[in-house]
Amino acid sequence: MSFKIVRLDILLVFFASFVTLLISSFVLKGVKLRQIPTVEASLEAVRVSTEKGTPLFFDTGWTGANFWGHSSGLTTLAFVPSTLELLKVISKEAGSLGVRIITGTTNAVYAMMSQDYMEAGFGLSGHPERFNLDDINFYPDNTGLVMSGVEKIHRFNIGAAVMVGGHNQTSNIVLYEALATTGAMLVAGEIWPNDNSMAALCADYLSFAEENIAIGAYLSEDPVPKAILAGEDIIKAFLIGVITIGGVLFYLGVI
Amino acid sequence: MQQENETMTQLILGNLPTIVGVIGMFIIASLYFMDPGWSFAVTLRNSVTLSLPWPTAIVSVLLIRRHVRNIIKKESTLPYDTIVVGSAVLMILLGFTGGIADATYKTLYANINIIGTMAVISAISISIFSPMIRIYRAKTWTMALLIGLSILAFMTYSPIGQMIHPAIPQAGDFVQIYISGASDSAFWISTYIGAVALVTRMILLKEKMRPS
Repeated sequence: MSFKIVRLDILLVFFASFVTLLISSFVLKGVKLRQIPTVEASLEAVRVSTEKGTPLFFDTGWTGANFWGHSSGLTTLAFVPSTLELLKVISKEAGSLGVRIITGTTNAVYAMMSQDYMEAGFGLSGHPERFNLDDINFYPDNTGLVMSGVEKIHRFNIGAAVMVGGHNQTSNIVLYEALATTGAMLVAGEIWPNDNSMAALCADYLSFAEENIAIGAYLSEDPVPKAILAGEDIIKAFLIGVITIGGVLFYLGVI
Repeated sequence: MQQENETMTQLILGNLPTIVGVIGMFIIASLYFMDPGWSFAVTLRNSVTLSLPWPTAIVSVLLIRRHVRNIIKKESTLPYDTIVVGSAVLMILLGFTGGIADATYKTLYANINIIGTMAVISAISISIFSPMIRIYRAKTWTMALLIGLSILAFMTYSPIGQMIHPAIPQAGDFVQIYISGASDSAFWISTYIGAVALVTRMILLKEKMRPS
């Protein structure tokens, strides 16, 4: 069997993007970035939970290795490092303030990785004994996640929630609605646009998919990840330019 | 030189989950550009995901353990815990004895799944209305815009808009095709650029698959 290269155009764009980001990691080192509100708001959610005396609901939904052969499925993989890093930072704050974190996912591997990151976060807070393994939930499917999530929100009278991840079939709206009934502060960032639209209607703080992927780099003290983030803007500016010029040329009948 | 070797070994071993992940992503991404390639990528996917029953089983046992403990301690959630443990044990026993193709297993699973799915879909339908009503108390211009668009969409895809004026569904279609369509594309393009940047950071070992 012989292999041949296809989609050379996409390969070239991918390679050019990769090279641009690599160069950015050197050239743009030390660049200042604007804050991602979700990160600050997530820590605020921990403090709100402290004031209300309730656990924090940290739900990532479908985030994990949900690879069903479509690019949007693969995108959930990109959320894994960032959401876990956020979980670690939240756990550190929660450990210091004595707040429980109730978390859950439909991915078994992600559930086990959550244990590592939560343990690390509570360890960094100086209170590793406050980590509770039973607060990490695994749901076999989306239906189980939603039903169990609603039950937990009401049982614990959840006062604040961070829902950064993927909640398919707009099931996030059910959890948002349950959180609204308990008067919870809601920080949200969803993978899919339709879910993000729902979040925009309900959440106190909202971040878009790309911002969520950047959380890991934003939380890092290392200047290289931040330089790569800034490099994304060069690619975006180039693409906007291509679209604008292409539109004008198309309008003029040149292409 | 010895020190350098040790450092490199530590670097590789310390980042083994990330390195394995990057290699896996590289193989899958490379197969996308090959013909034939996608079938190999799916085979690779299957060979990895078929190992998922083990972590699934481990996590399931941990969850059942929690509910068993609640039953022993006679917590207030006793009826719920009893149902969870009872149904889990029943399904596991049926699965082990007759396999997932067993008629009883399939019937029970299908019924529970249908009931659960119906409950969630109903909840979604009800919940969608609620934020639309609550949103009238929204205080930002962004939310005000969303209210307007939600009402426009509602009137576009129900007979009400057409009954009021034919221009209403036309305006709704315009928003859906041009504004929403362009926004959706921009959303995904930025996400994919972000994903490429993430992969770049992972290759440079700046994003890790284990806590540091």
